[in-house]
Amino acid sequence: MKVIGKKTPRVDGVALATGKPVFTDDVSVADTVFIKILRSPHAHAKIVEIDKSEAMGISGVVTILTHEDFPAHYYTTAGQGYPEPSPRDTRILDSTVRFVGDEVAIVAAETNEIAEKSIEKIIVKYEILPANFEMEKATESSSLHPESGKTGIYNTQKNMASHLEAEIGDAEKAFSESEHIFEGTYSTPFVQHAQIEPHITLTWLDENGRLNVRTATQVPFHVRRIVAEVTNFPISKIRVIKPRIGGGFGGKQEILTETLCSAITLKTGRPARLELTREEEFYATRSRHPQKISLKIGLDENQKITAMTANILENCGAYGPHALTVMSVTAQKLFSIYKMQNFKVVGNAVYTNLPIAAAYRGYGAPQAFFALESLMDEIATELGICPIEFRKKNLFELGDELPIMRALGEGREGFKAFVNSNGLAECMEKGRKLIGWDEFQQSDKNSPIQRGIGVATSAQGSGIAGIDMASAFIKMNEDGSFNLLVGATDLGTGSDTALAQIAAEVLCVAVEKIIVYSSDTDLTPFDTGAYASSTTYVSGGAVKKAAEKVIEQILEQGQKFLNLENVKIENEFVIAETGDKISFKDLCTKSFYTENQMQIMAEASNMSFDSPQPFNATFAIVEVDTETGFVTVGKIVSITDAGKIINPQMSEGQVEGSIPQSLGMVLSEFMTFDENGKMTNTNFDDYHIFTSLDMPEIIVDFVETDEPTAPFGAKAVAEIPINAPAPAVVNAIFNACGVRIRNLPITPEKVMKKKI
Amino acid sequence: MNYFSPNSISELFNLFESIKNYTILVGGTDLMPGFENGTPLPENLIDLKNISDLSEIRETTEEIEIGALTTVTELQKNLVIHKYFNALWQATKEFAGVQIRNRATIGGNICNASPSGDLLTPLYSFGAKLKLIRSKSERIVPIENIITNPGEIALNNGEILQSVILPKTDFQSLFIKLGLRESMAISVVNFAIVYKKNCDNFEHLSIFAGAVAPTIIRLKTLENVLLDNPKTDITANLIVPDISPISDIRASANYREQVLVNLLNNEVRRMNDEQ
Repeated sequence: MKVIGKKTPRVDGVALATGKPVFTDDVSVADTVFIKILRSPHAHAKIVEIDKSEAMGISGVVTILTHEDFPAHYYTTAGQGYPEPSPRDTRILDSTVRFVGDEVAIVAAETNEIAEKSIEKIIVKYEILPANFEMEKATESSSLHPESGKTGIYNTQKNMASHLEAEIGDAEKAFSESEHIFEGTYSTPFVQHAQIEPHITLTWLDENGRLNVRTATQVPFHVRRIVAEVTNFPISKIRVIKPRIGGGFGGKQEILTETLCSAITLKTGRPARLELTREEEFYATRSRHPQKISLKIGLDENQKITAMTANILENCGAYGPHALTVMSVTAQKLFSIYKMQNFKVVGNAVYTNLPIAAAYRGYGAPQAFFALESLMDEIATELGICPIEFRKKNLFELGDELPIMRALGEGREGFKAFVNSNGLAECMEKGRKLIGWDEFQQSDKNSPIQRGIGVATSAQGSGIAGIDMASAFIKMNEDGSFNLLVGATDLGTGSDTALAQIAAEVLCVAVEKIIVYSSDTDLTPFDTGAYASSTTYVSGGAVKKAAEKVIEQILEQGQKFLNLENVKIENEFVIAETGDKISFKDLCTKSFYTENQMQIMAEASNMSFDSPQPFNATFAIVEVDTETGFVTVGKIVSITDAGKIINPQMSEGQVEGSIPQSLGMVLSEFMTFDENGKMTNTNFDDYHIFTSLDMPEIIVDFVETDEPTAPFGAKAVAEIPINAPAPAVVNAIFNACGVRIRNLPITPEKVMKKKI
Repeated sequence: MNYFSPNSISELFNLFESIKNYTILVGGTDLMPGFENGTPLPENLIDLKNISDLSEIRETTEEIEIGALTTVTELQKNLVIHKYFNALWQATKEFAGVQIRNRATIGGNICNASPSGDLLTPLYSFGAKLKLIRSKSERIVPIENIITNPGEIALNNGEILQSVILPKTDFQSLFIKLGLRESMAISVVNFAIVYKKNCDNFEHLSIFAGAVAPTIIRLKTLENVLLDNPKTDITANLIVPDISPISDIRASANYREQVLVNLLNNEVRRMNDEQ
């Protein structure tokens, strides 16, 4: 292959690196009003009265909207397939607030400062309602969503947003016949995406009265649909444009600022801008679902897993976007690496009066693999066997069916899935060598610094089977270049470049000949969006199909122009066996102006009933300071099977970027709340993401496999590497000092407590 | 809010004649985030950045005098500080991150009066004195007389911190900080030890700890025990009489006490092993 797998600079790299005006906020529209949000100081309250007279009286205030300005229409902020599997439990502005930070009113003013001043002058009378902050107590607490008209909530009275169950074989019977049984309960906290660019939207009405929405989103087409629904404005009159994005990680799979900004523009007729503050990003956008996972594993005398049961309790916070589907991924992934005949999983997602959780890179899988890979390590230790050999012994093999995928789809019944490519065993072997597993020496037992080594594995998907759909459109220009128009959303991931590579490979041209334009609902065809690790696999498939159609047209035109049957493509020429040839440039020019006139162009859609799993094995070396409990990660080796690698540099970047996120989740990142449910660490002073000084040495490598259902054999690489670093560190800490912690994060204080 | 940036100390004192309510701005690394987070803006903000007299480091045979506007980076690069005041030099390296160190000043760190201020424990341990000036007078006061409570300093109206005076000695010193990450972390505990050994005993010993009380505190009980017997195994009861830690977002009071004991033991053991 000429382009796939080759070093390819990003198509947007120069513009980004030279500071061109590429982000949402780099464009300003004259006469814009600025929006600020009044947020609830209470964790649960009914709004009795809102007096906005004083706030409206401030010079420069344009309008103030509250729940009184909107009908009681319920929707979900989750930008996912339609009809959404998430409960419809949200109003654009509600008369009840359900967490500290819930939206009460929005002010539009001539400046941000005036808007800020104005929200302080809005007088709200609240009737305080009882609040619950513990997911374990959710089912006995008073209902957060008793209102009629809300749909898709599994059990309103018991605060259960969603519920799932799946069963294969007979786990209980298998346990009774097992040689060994192991159990453990594992829990994870709320953690934040902490993407650099906050949520930001700019809206305006164009000369035809159409609503333009320039926004930092991962899901432009879902934005269009949901804005239309919530503002009751026709889809045909909405255009959503996604410029370059400063990171999303799932946080921008939510429709948060777009609906509010659009409502203001539609109300006032003026352009509107809404950018959230960093503090709002922390407590008022979205986070990773805390989960408590109880696992039970049965083994036979050969240390093969005979059965596993899993019980998942998930904390949604006050509303339920992605409640079911995140939990479904947790459930799926628990049963996607190790083969067994009997299993059962039950999951409940519950409401609490805390900030809202939703999609975050990994989407339920990080929680699953923290639990599963911790327990696998505990079992290996207990049985005195090598954790790598124990895992390898239980892996799925090529051609095996993944029964969980049949039993449990994303929010509905699944599709039969088979393991068509699996490089996990090779990933483990490669990592074992690169980390020096067999040579590793623990510290002297009397040393205050104890070193340890750990391993964990994980799997993810490539798009959502049977649901995600993407399309692409390609047209040829008379200089031999091609426009590639895709709905796919590059949120900093580099997908525009990967898709250009796929097009270039099929069209037999250099990547520079592909002009990519993406994510504009007026100009590009539909794509469900950038989530679920779908873009390379699903959107890439659409690009490949469209490019193949274009190549056919080029060959046909070539045959006509050369008047010869047997032609092929070489170096941007159509060449006949006789040696007669015509360049792409001449071929397209002729097609435009003189002979057999036509625009060479094609479109294609793609979806898949498969979601092939990329795999990863991560190894960690840690040092535990036994005098302070402080854990320093010394080295991470991350080996991924993402099928065929389309772009090596960008793939490495995906892996490297995921590691600090996973290390943060295991060691330093967690949202803290006071007794009233107010988040207390809403800035990077107190919410500790890893800094460059905290980062370990990282070695990234790949085991290439050929996934038969994928474009050029490529599986996804976006989410897979975020899962295993956390459990690898947990296992390394145990290896270092014998401290096993099952509830994240592992703070120095917890290590010290366990040691005593 | 009115903003002033006088060009000299005399201009500043003239300004004090006309305005009474003011806040002084130096590096701004605490003040500006505070304003962002809702601290009300003062009536008058006086920025001292143009008063170059306040950022000099002067050395005599007996002492070093550090201008209040000296940045942490400048402290870190100063060879005299590196030579005589190792604990302070160590603290400059552990202080926040590079960008903050380029802005933050020694005067700001003192006047911000944080219980966990990283420069403070070394300054206390070296017996730092503060030179405070008003239009017609000056006074030189030990640092502990000026920092009274978290965020509170005993400066009079119209008075500013001009410089910090540290006596040169042949003492050795060290600074230890535990933060929850490698940079940009507020101390969970920190301490400085300034000492001189005579054979196996301490001829001089001063130990101050931060983030375990409302202000930086001297571990007097521990000092006395170690002066008597430097090989004493340090236990919690030797520091408990002097500290009053709180539990907050970063750590519990218990943890602070426990790691302070461990880290002190570690360092004192190492000091004892020194030849």
